[in-house]
Amino acid sequence: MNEHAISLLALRSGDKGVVIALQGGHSFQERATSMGLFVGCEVVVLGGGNGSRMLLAVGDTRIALGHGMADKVLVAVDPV
Amino acid sequence: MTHSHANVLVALTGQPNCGKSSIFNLLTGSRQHVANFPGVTVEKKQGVYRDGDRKIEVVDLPGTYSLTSYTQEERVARDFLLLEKPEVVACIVDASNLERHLYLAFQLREMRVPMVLCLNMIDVAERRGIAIDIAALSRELGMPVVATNARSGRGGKELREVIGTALGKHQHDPGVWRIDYGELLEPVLEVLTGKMAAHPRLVEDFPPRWLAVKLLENDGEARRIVLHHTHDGSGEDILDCADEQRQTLLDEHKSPPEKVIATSRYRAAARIATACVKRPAQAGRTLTDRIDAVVLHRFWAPVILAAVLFTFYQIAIGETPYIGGTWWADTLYPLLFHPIKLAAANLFTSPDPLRTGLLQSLVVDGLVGGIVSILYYVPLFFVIFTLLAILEDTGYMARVAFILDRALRWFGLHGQSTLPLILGGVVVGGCCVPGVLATRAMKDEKARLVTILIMPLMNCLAKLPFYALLVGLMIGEGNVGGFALNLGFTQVGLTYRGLALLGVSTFSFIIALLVAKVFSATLVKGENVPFVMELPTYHLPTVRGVLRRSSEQVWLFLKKIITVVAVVQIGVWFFVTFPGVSPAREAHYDRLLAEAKTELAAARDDETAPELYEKKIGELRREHNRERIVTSYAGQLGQALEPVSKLAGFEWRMNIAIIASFAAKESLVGTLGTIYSVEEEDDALAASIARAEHGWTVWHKLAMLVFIALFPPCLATIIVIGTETRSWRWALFATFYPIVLGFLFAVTIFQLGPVLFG
Ligand SMILES: Nc1nc2c(ncn2[C@@H]2O[C@H](COP(=O)(O)OP(=O)(O)OP(=O)(O)O)[C@@H](O)[C@H]2O)c(=O)[nH]1
Ligand SMILES: [Mg+2]
Repeated sequence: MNEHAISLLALRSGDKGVVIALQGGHSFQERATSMGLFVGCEVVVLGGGNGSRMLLAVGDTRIALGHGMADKVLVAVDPV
Repeated sequence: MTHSHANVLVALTGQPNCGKSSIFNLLTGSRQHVANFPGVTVEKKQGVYRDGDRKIEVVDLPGTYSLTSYTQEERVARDFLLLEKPEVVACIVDASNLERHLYLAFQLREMRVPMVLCLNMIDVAERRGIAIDIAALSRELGMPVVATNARSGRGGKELREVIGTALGKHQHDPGVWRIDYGELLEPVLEVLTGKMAAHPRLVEDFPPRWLAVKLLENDGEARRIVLHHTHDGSGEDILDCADEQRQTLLDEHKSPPEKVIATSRYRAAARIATACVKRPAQAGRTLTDRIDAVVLHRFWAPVILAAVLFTFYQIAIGETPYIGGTWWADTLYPLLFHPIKLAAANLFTSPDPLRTGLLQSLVVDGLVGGIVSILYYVPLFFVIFTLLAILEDTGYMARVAFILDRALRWFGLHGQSTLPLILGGVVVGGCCVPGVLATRAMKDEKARLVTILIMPLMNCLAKLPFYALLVGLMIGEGNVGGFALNLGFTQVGLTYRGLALLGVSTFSFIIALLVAKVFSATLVKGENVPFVMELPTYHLPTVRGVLRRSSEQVWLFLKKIITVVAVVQIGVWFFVTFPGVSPAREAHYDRLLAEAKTELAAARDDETAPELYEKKIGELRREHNRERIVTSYAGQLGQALEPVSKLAGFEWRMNIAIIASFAAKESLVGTLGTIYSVEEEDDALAASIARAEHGWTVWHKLAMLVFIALFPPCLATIIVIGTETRSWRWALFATFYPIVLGFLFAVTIFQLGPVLFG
């Protein structure tokens, strides 16, 4: 495995990743999942990052995620 | 004739912001609140339309992403589907975002309710070059599919037809359609459904496979259903089996069933989307992304936000002809509302030139006067609600929540507090009632309570006339730098007074934030829910949609407020009318009246006599009126409080006005007018106060301004706070802390101001 599991917070604008785990509480998992931010989906960071709120693109949906939440989303990024 | 065509029930479901309410309006021709802001409809709404000789009852359920029992809306929607058993469920999906919206459709499908799928926002999909094979989709899902554009009305007829046909069938679907939950879960589901099959009472009412999936998700409601519909402990048996299987999946396979279930649903959605949807090769960044790159930009976001709010503010309460809310209110009042009051007054003829009869004063001053003084604000409200509707419909409001979330969170609030607070009047001119109601969309219970509690500190419209009066007393007219932008039909400029008003609202907002910080750190318990929110695609608002929204809002406001205000006004009227002027003083007035009459009779030849008489009578009447208020219960209380209120520089006159306005702030300026014995006009009141109170320093005025800025809520607000928090303790708390807070500030300003600044 040459994938790295990192927090979504570590990504920068323009980065892509695949969600591999949602570590928040149950209701967060449920909410994120049903909005389209689910395990296995690809996310693109559109804005924010660097420790602030994040704007994500998951398919055609735009999701805004608070700092604390972004921290709980683990993503895998291709090694560079 | 028998009533063979009883009402039939159709439910509308869908994820938030997919256009359910718009479809509801399209079907029933009613005027539901529509907004480009997820989670606007939180209660179910009902309407009716006719299909031939059938009467079809439509229920607009709250938007839900899923159908768990974790959130209130999802519970409302699910209970409705399970208990009311609608004949047909129309699932509304966003055609431009099909894959995601299928997630909910699948769950409904699993509940085996008779369904039709409504591919709404087909216009948006087409604009993006997304082509959907409707026939294939219908085959895949095993249900009729209709494409609609709820805005233009396209597809409405077809939707009615399809619903009509589905109603005719009257049969539940046989349940062959299913999602493949994979090799781990399928055997388990098999076992569970097998166990349930032995309980006819259970499987007749609830689809076993759906129940089994829910049990694996560890859903509380599903567990309750199983227990309720089985007997002899066999329910526990099923639950134990489910728990055991769950545990095995967790321990041995390290895969929480919820995750497997969700992933399977998405895989199914992705497969169907691949089969039925053709989209252009990734167009790269959409228009929305490009707009967001600027609007949510680290540097530009606050600049744009400030500009938007400032414009909002200038328009909302501005006096700019044809645009400003105040201009509309001032223009329409004499045309539409004042005549109502005059008409009411004309119903009575009083033989006594000094006194108005009790019934007359109750009806004209108490009831009609109170309602008319609220009606004055209707045009203003209309302008404000229109602006809000535009902001929401474009999709910008959701961005505001996003931009402000971090800052607001520090104060114990939430990004979603933005809309309620703006409605309540962050920028001068809101109303706490819709503000408190709008907090319903907030998921974060703690932040919601804090938002509600600071609502009374917002600048509601009713505080405006008083602000205007005091600011007028303190600051001269004129534009900043003498600048005015000429737009041909109207002039736009930044006035000093406007700037001062902005200062007042900024002040109260800062205090509100600090109060929120304190409350969330001490009084209000609970955890803050993290911020997750979907940002809708930008839409161009339509004139019709916006106007419909704003008029509906105004109407809601009126319905809520008029009755309360009427009751309250009668109460206030009682306190400022009784016990009335003492008999001895009444005799004194009678004597003066008689004197004036004799004088008039004596000077019959003098041309100016009647005019002089009228003037004298006017003065007498005002004097009598003043004495009535001053000696009333409210007046007595005001005077009794003077020793305390003096600390903040308030004299009894001011106290009376404050007490009278406790119930409805609208009457504040009016009562002052009566106490200072002037008729109606604001300018005259300012002049008359200036004359009577030449001792007032700037600190008097500032202390009052600040006190009123933090003034307690009106009765209507207290009532909504009580119903929304389901606690009268919070309602009482929200009533009294602003008085204490406001008074402390006023005293501080009044006492320290002169010392510090001379
Ligand atoms: N272009 C387009 N816009 C639509 C269509 N249907 C609804 N809208 C817009 O989408 C936004 C959301 O519509 P609503 O009807 O409020 O959605 P809802 O599903 O009731 O939303 P909630 O009650 O918040 O869950 C509004 O701005 C509508 O004007 C459509 O078919 N095409
Ligand atoms: Mg709605």
